[in-house]
Amino acid sequence: MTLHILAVFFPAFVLVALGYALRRWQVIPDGQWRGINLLNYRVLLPCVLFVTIARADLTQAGALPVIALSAGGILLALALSLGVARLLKATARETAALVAVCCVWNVVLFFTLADRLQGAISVQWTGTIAAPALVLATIIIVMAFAGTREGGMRKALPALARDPVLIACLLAVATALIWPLVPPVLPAEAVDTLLSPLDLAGYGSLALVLICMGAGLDFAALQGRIRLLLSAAAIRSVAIPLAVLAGAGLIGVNGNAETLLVLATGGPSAAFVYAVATEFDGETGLTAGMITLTVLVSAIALPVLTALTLLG
Amino acid sequence: MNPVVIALFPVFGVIALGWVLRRSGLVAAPLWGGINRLSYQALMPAFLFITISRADYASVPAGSFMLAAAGGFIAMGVIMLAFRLLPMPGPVYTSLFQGGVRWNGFVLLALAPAAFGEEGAALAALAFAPTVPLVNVMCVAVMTVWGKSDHAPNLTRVGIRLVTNPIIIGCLAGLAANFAGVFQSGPGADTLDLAGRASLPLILLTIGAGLDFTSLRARPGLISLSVTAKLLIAPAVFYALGLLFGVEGVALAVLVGIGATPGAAAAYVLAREMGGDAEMMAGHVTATTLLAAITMPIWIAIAAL
Repeated sequence: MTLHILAVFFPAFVLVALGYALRRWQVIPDGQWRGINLLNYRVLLPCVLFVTIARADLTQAGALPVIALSAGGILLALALSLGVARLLKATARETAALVAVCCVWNVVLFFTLADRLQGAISVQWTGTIAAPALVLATIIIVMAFAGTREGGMRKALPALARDPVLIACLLAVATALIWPLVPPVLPAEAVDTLLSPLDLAGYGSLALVLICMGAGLDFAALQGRIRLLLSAAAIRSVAIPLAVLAGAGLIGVNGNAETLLVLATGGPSAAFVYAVATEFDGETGLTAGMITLTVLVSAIALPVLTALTLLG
Repeated sequence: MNPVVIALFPVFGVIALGWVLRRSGLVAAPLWGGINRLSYQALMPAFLFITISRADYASVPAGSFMLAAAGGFIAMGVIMLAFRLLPMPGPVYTSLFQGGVRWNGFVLLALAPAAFGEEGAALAALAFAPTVPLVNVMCVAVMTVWGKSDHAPNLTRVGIRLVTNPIIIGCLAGLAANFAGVFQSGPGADTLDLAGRASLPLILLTIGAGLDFTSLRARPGLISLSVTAKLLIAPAVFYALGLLFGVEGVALAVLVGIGATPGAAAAYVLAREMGGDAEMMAGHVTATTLLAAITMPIWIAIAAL
């Protein structure tokens, strides 16, 4: 069991480390990461989200509790992060960073690990888990950062309307819900062929997103404001997956769906949170530190939590 | 629908996506440098290593296939030398030569698993090891004689670049691992597999981003000639050599696929560095990339008959 879990997680986290090394030693100089990140965020991530969610059966038996747990995890992260921010007397800008980091889990790491753990069968649940969480989380982080600056909320709506991740998710959800209802105009093979460029671009590039995640790690940002940093990691990588695991036990979600829920909600924060923080002139240093710490904590906690679901 | 056409659809779809991204400014031209560098220097060598190290070459006619592939490039070099008899300036001729000889193996690598299965993908990857240095040596030699550069070509630098080429290193290391029977499974190999899978879509995107339709206006007559050499003469030469060396089945289809691939962007870089006609080269790469979407499935279908 231990070896199996290690074999699942090892390649993904080695790629994260590789990304860090490539940037640290300037094999890929700082300036060149901008294009790579832009390609990730604007194209590759939306591609993989669209093909995964659009193919998901959002109305399958047992989908509702899974969707509720996925969305519930985000809402719980919002409540916990706001509560902790108040306890620690965080400023509005610090609160925005804490909320954003706690609410967004890394969807690419989730897809990669789900595939490595369960193979092709994982697609039965990955889209169903990702869709509600991503829509909710994207709205929360844009509103959180926008709310901390004057006129930010005015900027938030246009930013949300053109957010590639949100657009891809909403289009995919609409497709997943409407497509089965319309009379078949194309055979399934033809639809697969039409989607194949998105499959190739999106799924083929998962590793690139992991490498970029590593390139974005900033250990220097771990200095100072240690209580906020630790709170973010504790909420994101420990409290939320444990709560979701408990919730799954309570409402009877088990098997592959339970494991995937923990794998998703226990993942580190997504690197694109940093991009949103930059766009809204947020606390970028603190955000980078929090993301880095969630990656480190998840590297240890996530295999343990996953093993718990498999043992159960 | 023909399985090769179905396999080509995502390949050319991603190339088109790359073009749209650059053209629309969604990922602006200067930002592609990092994507290029990461793909060629880290991800593609990982892909070639893992594909070659895990391949079962005992079950395929790898020896005759490699001989035919190397022979195909040498034959194309000889044919393209004959075009020197045509009246044209030296730098323009070097671009015509490169157009006929250089191949874009990444298009074939992306197509191979779906069109030819694992056996074909392994053969396509294997072809890189000897042909990359062979083609480069031929092109550099021609550029040195007929190119027109402000500075003398630094052959030592070209040599070092060849020896340290990550693509060649990835191939040779993969071949060594294959012979030694190591590094074919386990977490390390899985990591390279995961990393390598990202290389093809990224390289296809960069191919698309590099397409330049305005360059088609540069020397349309000579571009037509280089396109004819690349998409009609080369696949026929590879096919004939395949039959001559007794290559058949999937191996013959892959061999003809090598001949039928579009031109490579590396030709443009070399033309710019060593005094060739870079604009004509860009036109050649653009034209062959577009037309190969039609000619590649036809040639592969002929080989599969």
